Amino acid sequence: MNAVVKRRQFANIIARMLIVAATLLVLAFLVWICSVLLYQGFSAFKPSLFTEMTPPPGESGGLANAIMGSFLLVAAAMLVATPVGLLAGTYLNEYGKGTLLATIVRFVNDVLLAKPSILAGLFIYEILVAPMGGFSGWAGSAALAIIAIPVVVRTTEDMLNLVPNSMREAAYALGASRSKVILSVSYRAARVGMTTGILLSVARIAGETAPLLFTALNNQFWSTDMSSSMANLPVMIFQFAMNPYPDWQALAWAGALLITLTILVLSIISRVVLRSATAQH
Amino acid sequence: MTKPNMTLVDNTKTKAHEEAAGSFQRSPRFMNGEGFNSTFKWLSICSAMFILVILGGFFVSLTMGAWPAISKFGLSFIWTSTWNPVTEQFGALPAIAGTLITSGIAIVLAVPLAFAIAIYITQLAPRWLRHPLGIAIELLAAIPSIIYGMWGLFFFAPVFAEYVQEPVINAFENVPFLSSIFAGPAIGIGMATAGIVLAIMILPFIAAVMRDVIDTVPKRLKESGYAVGATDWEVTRAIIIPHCKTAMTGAIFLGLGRALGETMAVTFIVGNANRITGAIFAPGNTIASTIANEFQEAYTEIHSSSLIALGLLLFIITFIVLAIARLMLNRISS
Amino acid sequence: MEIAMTPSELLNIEPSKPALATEIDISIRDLNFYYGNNHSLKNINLEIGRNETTAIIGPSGCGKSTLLRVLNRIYTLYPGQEAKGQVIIDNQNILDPKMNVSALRARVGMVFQSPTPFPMSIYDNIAYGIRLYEKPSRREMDARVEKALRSAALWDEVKDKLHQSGQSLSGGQQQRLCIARTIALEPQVLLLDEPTSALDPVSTSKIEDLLDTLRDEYTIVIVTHNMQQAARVSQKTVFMYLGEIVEVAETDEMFLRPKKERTKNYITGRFG
Repeated sequence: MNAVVKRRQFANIIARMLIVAATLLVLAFLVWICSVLLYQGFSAFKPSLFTEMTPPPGESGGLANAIMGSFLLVAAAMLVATPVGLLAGTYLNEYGKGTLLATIVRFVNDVLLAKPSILAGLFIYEILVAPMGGFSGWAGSAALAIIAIPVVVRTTEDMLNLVPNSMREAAYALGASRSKVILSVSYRAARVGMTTGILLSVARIAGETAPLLFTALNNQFWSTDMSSSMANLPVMIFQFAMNPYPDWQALAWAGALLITLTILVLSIISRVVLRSATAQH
Repeated sequence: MTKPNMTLVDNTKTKAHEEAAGSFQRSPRFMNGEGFNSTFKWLSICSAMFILVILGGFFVSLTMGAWPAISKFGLSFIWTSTWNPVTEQFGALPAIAGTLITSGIAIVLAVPLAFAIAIYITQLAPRWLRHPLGIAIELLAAIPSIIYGMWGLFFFAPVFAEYVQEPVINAFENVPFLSSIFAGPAIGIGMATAGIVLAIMILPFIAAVMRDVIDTVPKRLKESGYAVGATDWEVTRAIIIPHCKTAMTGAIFLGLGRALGETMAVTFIVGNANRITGAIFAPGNTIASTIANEFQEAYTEIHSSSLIALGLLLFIITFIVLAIARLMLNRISS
Repeated sequence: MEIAMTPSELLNIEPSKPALATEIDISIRDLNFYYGNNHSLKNINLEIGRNETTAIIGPSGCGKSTLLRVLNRIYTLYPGQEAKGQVIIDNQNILDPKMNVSALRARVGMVFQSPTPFPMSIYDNIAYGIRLYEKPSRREMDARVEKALRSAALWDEVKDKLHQSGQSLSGGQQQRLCIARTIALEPQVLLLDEPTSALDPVSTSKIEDLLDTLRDEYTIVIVTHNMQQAARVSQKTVFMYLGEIVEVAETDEMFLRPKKERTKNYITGRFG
């Protein structure tokens, strides 16, 4: 082996080592963060989390009202985001393909997909909270919906795009109308992927904190009234974690674990479902 | 649903053209639903337009909310370095500087790491490891921002203060220029800490896009590199990087867009100080963390309006950065 | 490329049924077709007889599929495609913008090159088309599905698994399912766009046998690049080249004594 080849091999080995080292470094951070979360979260885990309300300073309590509030906020957000997102994604792939409007909408949607979530909070504060004179669950849901919609749009379009055009043509050749073809053939063929998009968008908004700070705020008490300020896990975690009371910090970690596990379960379900669906084809 | 022009079907003899030649007998059942057909189309179009309305709504509402601050301070809002709620003097420069410094640190750290991971997953890792590794990176992206904040504040910051900040500050103590950059109290929190945590947060996004981009390199292109005896690293440098240059830059901009607006994690660890120093270990503030910290306590109109003006700035900056990212990424997909 | 064959060799493959003198089912007059600025069908005049099989052959890009796609107006799905002229079915010009395309497509069914079962059960694949137009009772629907599957010679193979996914069938079965789905609407005309090009020889011969039996009830127009297939299944053959009809003749006649030099060159494999 001559010197040139030797030098090249050496450079290759160095590069490989650096790449592996970088990967290991990132994985180390992942392990660190996850183990902290698991340890702190499980130490604070107790059944009363689900039955007791968030406590006043210095006392112990649970997360029941925050869990319920988060659930309601996310559910109401998805109630709006799902139809709007599905329909907009349908437009992009089924009606508007190749049109200027679709190109613009796709571009804007991609930008919104990565927009800072705090801006959604400010936006809703300006159009809902300030004019109506108070924080409310509805405002929180609106902010979350704005974050969820682009996710649903994107996955819906991508999944519809995978449906072979020949299948649509075959349905048209039987004389089916456009909406019939979309609803009974395209949606049917893409239903698993579209469901995945909805699950992923739930995962995306479940842990969002910043947009809720100016919209749903928080609430110390049990409340299912969406027209007033509402307890929710992320803002509760933020407030409790920043406080010196050990009980509050423990509750914050328990809440953090709860949210992360929810997101994890949603991602795993959508991944498994999607894989089993793509395996069929 | 009724069936106009439709005789009930008799199984033995149903051929439409045997009934009466010369006219098209059958009207589809959904003819009555012709209205539904166009309603559905219009609903789709309206939903698509709604995406544009959201973007427009962001801009209009933020501009309106920021108007009192804009009319009072004008454009000098951007380069004024005082942010003082007591004297009602507001300038965005400390927040802008903090945002740029933290995001800059994040990008400098995240890009090489993300690139290494993308190369490892696509080129070097054994086949069985690629999928789990991809999931691990996605997991990193799925962890909510607020958890990065708590981990950063309670676990990372103390370690960082003891094992990085103190030694580095001491090491550069007598070096001119560098001593003022690597300066600040060794308390763990500050702009460098925020930058590092941001780097970990944006890295999975950059890595995932880079991985997809690298996968678009045609196999025969790589094979022809290996065929002349090039090593993995030489193929990466001579074929993969040039082929993916634009899209990879797009991925970096995408990460930058995320870093600029990341709120909760930064709010926990940036230190929340509204002043500008060149020292990276010093506490600072970013646009997003200033808003998150002060918005609920902003009792005067000019204070909250100034915060919304900060939001408007963030909106414009991230829009530009993300638009550039998209344009660069779209070029490869088309 | 086709295997080169002489006309006399081709003659050995006899169509199983003699050609009939028939009435005209579809008549195409001065048809021109444009893909944007591309003039892809030029002055087509053609009469297609009732209850006989017409094969359209020609090299790729000659416009044979385009011509087929005009007959049920499936081309209207794509903006920028335009047909001018007349296509008369039952005294109606189907190119008339006022024509109801759903009613037309119920009457002029189409089967595509690659099998396109819908993502639903075998049963629902058939029932799907029927439900677009009618709402039969459960028993009636069962009978219609069975009848369609029997006509497509698929019943015996699937009768025990009607509720399995249509996509679980083999390629040849899928294509027969698509034929069954089309004839379940009891159309008058059956259009087939290279229906066997994605299939193996055994499945191909099953489909060809099927086409033979279907001819009693349907007017069939088949586009194929396989000349032996055209010879086997059709009574009349149309040879197209560069968007124009070069020659129309009884199939035996065309393969035995092509009148035009270009036709002769094509069917003997001298160009393609």
